[in-house]
Amino acid sequence: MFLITNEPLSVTEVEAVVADPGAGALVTFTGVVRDNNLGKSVHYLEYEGHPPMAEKAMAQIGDEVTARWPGARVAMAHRLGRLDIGEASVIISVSTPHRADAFAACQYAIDRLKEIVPVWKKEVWEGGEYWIEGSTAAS
Amino acid sequence: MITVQVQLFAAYREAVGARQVPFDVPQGATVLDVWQQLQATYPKLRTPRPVAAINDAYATLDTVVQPGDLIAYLPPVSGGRSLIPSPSGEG
Repeated sequence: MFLITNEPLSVTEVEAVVADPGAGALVTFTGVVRDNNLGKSVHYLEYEGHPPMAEKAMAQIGDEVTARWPGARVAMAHRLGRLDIGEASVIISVSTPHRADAFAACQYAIDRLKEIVPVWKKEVWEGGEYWIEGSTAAS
Repeated sequence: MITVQVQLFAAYREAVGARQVPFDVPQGATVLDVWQQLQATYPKLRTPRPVAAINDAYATLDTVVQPGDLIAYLPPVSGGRSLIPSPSGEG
């Protein structure tokens, strides 16, 4: 599963995709909307993306993960639209035979997602808003 | 002249005020030429060399556009340095 959606995300649904009787570990990363960034109080975030290219880039990350960690299974989902504080913007689940690989692969996947998946976020705060680009992103 | 569809995202979309606009460019125009003509129409687009895609696949700025092409211009992503996937897979 490499999914871009406007609907709320479900950890259970993403984890179900990587369920594997040969796996001894399942690690899930959930990115959630934080109420502050760079010292500013954030009201909500707007996510925008290029869905076909974003899903393609996520599938590429899935291929990179399975090349580095044979036997790993990966699923990821990213939500677009307006997200309020505490809501999940991204979920990545990885299952592997042993836990060290699951942690490492999951971290790799979220780092790569932030590098290559064409999704942008705008912070909206009291009296202003700003598209987060490049090194200005604190998350 | 040929007509292409220009697709804009995030800050670029807001600078233009539309997600997708038809745009007329001379035959033989490159992806960068299209961008520079857009900048002439929409001065809020300030990036000199944006990341671009044609028909949902990354394209270099010197690619010549064809009639009906969907040309997407993509701002830098939130957490990253470059949108171009690295062949080695190194982050």
